[in-house]
Amino acid sequence: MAEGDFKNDSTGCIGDSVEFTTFKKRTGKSLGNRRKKRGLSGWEPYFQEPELTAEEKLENETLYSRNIPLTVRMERFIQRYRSRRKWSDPTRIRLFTMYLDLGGVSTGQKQFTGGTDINNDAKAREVSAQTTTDYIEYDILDEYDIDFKWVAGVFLSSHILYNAGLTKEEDLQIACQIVRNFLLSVLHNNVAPEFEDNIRDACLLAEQAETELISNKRLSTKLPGRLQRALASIHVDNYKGLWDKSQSDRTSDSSVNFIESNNTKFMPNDELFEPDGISRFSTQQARDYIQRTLGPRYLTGKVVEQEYLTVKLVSKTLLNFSNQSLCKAVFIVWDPPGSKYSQDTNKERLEVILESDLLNNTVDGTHLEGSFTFLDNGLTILDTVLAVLPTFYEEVKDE
Amino acid sequence: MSYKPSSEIALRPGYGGLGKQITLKANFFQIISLPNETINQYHVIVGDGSRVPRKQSQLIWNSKEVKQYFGSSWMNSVYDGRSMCWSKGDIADGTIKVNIGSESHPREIEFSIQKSSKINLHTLSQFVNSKYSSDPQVLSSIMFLDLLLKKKPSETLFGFMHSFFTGENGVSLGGGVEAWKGFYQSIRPNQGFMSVNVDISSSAFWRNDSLLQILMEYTDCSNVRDLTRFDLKRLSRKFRFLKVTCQHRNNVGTDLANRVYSIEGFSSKSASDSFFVRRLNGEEQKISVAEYFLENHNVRLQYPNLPCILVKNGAMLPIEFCFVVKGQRYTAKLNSDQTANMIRFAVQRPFERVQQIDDFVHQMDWDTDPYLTQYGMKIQKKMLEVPARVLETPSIRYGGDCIERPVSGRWNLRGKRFLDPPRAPIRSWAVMCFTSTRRLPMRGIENFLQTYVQTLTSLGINFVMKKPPVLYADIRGSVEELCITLYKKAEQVGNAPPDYLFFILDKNSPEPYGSIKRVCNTMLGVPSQCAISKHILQSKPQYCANLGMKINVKVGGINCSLIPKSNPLGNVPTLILGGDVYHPGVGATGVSIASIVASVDLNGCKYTAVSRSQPRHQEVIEGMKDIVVYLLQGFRAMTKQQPQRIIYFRDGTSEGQFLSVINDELSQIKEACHSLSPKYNPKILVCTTQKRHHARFFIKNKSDGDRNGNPLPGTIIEKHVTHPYQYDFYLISHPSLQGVSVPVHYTVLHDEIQMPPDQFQTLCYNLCYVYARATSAVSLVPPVYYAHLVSNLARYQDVTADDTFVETSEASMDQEVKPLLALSSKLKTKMWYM
Amino acid sequence: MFRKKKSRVLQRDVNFGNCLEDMNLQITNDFYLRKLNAPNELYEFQVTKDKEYNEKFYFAVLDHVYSWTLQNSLLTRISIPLESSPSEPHSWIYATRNWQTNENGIVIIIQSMSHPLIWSNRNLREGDVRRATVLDVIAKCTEKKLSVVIFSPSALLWDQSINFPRTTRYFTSQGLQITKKSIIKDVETPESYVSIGLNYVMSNSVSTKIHFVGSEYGSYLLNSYLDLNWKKFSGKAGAILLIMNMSINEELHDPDYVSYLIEHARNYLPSHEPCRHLMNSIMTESGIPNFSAGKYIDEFYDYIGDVLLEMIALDTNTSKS
Repeated sequence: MAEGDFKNDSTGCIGDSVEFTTFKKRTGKSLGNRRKKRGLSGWEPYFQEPELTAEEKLENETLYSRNIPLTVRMERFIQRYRSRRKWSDPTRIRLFTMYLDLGGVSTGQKQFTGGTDINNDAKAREVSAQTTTDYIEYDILDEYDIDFKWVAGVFLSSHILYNAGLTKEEDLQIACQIVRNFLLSVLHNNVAPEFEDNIRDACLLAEQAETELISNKRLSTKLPGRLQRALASIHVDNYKGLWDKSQSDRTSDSSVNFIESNNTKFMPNDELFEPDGISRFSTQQARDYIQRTLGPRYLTGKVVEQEYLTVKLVSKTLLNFSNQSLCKAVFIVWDPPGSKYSQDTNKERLEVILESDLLNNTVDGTHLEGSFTFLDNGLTILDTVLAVLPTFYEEVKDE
Repeated sequence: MSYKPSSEIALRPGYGGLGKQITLKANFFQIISLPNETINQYHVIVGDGSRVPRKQSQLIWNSKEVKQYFGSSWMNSVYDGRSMCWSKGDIADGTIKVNIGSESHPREIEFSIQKSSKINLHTLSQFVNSKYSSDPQVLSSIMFLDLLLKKKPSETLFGFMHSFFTGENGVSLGGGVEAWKGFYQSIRPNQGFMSVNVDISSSAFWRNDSLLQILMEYTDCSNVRDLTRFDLKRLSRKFRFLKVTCQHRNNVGTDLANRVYSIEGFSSKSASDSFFVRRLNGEEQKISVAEYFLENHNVRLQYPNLPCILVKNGAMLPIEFCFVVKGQRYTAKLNSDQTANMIRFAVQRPFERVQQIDDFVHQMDWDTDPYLTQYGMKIQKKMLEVPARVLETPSIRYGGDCIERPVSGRWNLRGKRFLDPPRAPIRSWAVMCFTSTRRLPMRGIENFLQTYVQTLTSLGINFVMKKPPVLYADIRGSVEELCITLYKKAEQVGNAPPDYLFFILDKNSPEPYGSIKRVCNTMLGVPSQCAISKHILQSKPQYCANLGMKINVKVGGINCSLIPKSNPLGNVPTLILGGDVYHPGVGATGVSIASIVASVDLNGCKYTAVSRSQPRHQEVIEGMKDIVVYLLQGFRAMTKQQPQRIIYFRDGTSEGQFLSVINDELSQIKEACHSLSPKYNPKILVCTTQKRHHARFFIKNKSDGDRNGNPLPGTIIEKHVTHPYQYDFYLISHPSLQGVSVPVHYTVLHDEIQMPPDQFQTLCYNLCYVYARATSAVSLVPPVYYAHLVSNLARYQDVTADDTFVETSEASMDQEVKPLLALSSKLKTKMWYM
Repeated sequence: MFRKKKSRVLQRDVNFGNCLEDMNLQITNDFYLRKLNAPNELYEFQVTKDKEYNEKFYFAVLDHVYSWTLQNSLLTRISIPLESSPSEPHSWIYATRNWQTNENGIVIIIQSMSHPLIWSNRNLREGDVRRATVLDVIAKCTEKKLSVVIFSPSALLWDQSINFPRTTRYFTSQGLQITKKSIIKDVETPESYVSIGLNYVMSNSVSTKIHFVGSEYGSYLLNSYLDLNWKKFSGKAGAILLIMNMSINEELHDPDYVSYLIEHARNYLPSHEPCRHLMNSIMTESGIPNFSAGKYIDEFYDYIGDVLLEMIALDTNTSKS
């Protein structure tokens, strides 16, 4: 604006050139536009935010100035972050909101309209202002510490497992990526320079989490593995004879026969329950398999004890068996940080024999919760797995 | 013979008479004098014909150019803001240019108008007196009246859609925000007259006050000195776009004092420290905001230490001169205190609602409305009194000849047994726990199971297997394999296929719930019950009893039924259908799902269910014929009787869709009957249910209401405020918790059964007492409720529904609709969806 | 971002004093549990807004009532497993003093999964404390020179901090961890507790008559035990009173026991018919005659002493003739 404009200024208001440049443009929009122009959603795994222009840098310096409390800076940043990404995927929104919530940022629902319809014709700018509802209690730091890494770690371990119930690989991926994407953007915009190291650590953790969680998930579907299943079928009450032929009659109430047309009639048939000698063993199949792999010594044995334990994988060693590639996995009993109680057991170290290819992609330090059955001949059977947990697994007390 | 309007929709056969006669007040105001003229309908195009924002269309409509072009007709014209305009005047076809900019910066837009047809308003009077059928003339007339009624309030009040706010009597919510009561109004055709339906709506607004005052409240500062220490800049975002005026003692009454500015934020420095450069006598000069105001406006700032507000063009104004403009919606999230206040403000006792509706009507002062006067329209200013009846409470039969006579719509299960427990005791079941032993130890589960089995036994469900096997599992394992394992485990221990499977989940998350339901309902054909670990740990008998209600019907039992005297179905075998269509939300993928439930007993207590996928957002149920054939066979197989009557309750249709329901779905039901046998011709009744409307009813005498002052359960309204000749009624069947009860609007679209209205109304009401999941009367007939539940679960059988995001392009929209995974036929005799 | 700090305040154990009076409650002269300063006011569950505190408070009340009952009924406690030292994990059965030497008869009561020595918490709050607890039954039996042994199958977890057996409900509601040290060896299930206890009572009582009461879950425990051991008992068995019997025919294997049940047992069920009325409307599979327990099962606990004595009298008469 030229100074000359003030001559005709009959309004009684005046300009301040510095403030003016700060608030003149919503560069946030243009950034979003640049992202869109490049045909990107902002969620691509290797998405990089464009270099900041001088103008944007200047704006960020004002928005995220060091003398503004971090809570305010974060709140501002989250608003802008939300407006610069595409949120068409409901899972992503849900996870991002859960993540913020764990980190002390509350997200409001749509405001209370008391039955009045939202003004449809509101200008786009106002709409975006209307929907920004994340906020941080201004006195949060009285009760909270600042720790980006901890939030990322808890969120990507216990939180998405138990609170969000994430089970699909792609969902686990989304969870890790949203955290990483968000944190990278915090770094990129220099929102919290004094915590840069902590945020970098959190970023690395999110990256590591993606690999770990995917491999954990795959392990979850395979464990306890063929050998342990066979052993369980012989020794563990829950599984003894489970897949042997049963005599029970599965046909439904025959007095009632009405059939829905164009709907294939479906009955659980025997095929559904067929033992395959891989994940389901009949007693005979189990005996044969153990005989072949470990030898007859392990066909007998008395159960001494059964315990549910959370353990940490410390090492795996290949074993020398003639025809089978097996390994000895060594676990130590481990209490997750943040868990309410410590485990009540006198066990410290456990050894379990697993197929070696099972743990191919599993890093040492991965944790398991499982049911372990101990035999008097020294054999430990991992009969049920309750969860495969990443190396950085952590819980929050009193959820 | 009196004239009967021709209509494909059933006519009202008469009125009911049962129950205690009472008089209620309805939020309807009678139009005493209706316009009788013939008016012109015009087609309007603004600009290039694309949609114009509401503010702008208002600006155009009230522009001097339009007023000039319309001449004296402007007073009696109404415009819908888009493409329709009505007037009794004669307006020439033509196009004019309208300036929507300012004097100095003109911006022109074209406004074209063209006469399209004539509307005879007299048809309305005939219509409400059942002498004329609903047609475009009538519909246009109603639209016209709606707009005519809106014309005045929208000039002076703050309007949003159908609601208006006067901005008076606001209640402070704290933080400079206040709650306003506004009202909703629309024109309704009733019996022998038209009326205005008026209701209350509440919303949050910024208080119009000095900005300084608002800021002090917002920041919780008790004096201005504290405010100066507050970093206002961090509040910039919260106050962004708030509109203010700038007033001080030297601009009182000038145009300047009325000029509106939009806040962009707050300056970082105070008014005395915020400088700018101005050019004076050819010289550049730095001057502070405070100095500037002293020099130019001769006002000295009282608080030069406060920052300024920044407005759109980069200028700054001292906070102390700013005043918040009235009527601005507060759109940010209310904090917890404000929300609590808002709820307190919005949730009213019924008598308060009455008072407020009356107050608003009084303020509206329709008598002096110049636009209504133009057409000689007069509206009664008192709420209509309507005759109503309170139906007798039905009695409910539980096991062991126990008869419950509920008082005020509620009862409990203490000391009761289910009417029909499953035929055989539970001999096979198993529990799978999808959480950590750290969160829920085995002992916790065992303790729960003792309470659970004890509670369910006392309700009449016997267990041979009192201690089911319990397996823990990994939620990231293969849920399918785990469910099969659990099934097999139950079978192994119980020596019989499981009666049902019990799952414990840690939280209420979409997975593994969805997979469990899909596998159990389609592959295994076994009922499943999920529970959350928190409740298991607490193991309260009350919670177990609630589970018991669901378990009993899932394994084929019946919880309770109406006693024969309370059951209007009598001995005539009647098939009751409930229908609903679920549509996926905007962001989600997947198909629309039509669900139909059908009774398979003679008392209308037990329902089998079918759901089908159909094209997205299609409301009419596809393939109804096949579904009904199947359901008829089911009824026959289970009751050994052929239904002589079919009663179809259909939810989710709006008035505009009534005809298509009749044409498509009814004719398919008929086809289904004929396909079974050409001679088979049961009598059919179709009735829709609606919850989204603004009709509310209030008591006149205390004795006619409950503690809160709502009408009692069983209150039925079918006179005065219902349709001129269609067969509809409002029914309040549930006890109210708080606030004003919402009645359900039932409309019978087709009726061959010709039950007396009394009998049908009693049926609707009494059925509300046998919803299997509750020990209270529900607000809607259970078959419709069940259809909702079925749709919710059927989503997990949709192979195309996916939480993971898929870009919806035009191409993917046209894809064929994939069928849902088939429900196992083993579940057809059980209410698996509960 | 932000991580909640560890709460600095460690959970202190709330101290509710040593008696009901310390908790502003009393058992009045006419045996009602009422507030100390307002003898007409019932106990309230909402002491404060803090749910956890309320739970603790509630259990403290139950504990005091338990002690009160123990004291007033002069019961002795027998630890199960037998011979456990006071600091070793054990559960208890409760017996009147002369149970071993009394020849007149002995009544064996197996409670439901309720709090030890309390029939119904609801009655405790509203009704006569003697009838809400086992006190009334014991008084009536002692008067008739009968001994009483009571089994409480709900309290089978050991609370190390006070060396006392507790219910699972207590552990979960107080947020206590169930560890191996809480497990009581040999009595890990209600079944084994009943079985060890009854074997002991049977072999140490000289009585020629044994009457049984099994309440709700206890009815199932009782039936399962008797069904297995009927040969040993059939000579001594007297009346069998069941409350909301949970066993069904399929579970019972000894036909002699089943026919004895049909002959001598009575089962009380809630119904709308007048209390203690023989019901034909509800037929259980088991064929045991059903009687009405009144509208709610809690109502019946008020009468349980009277009904039991009637049944015993009836049994004595029939066996004499």
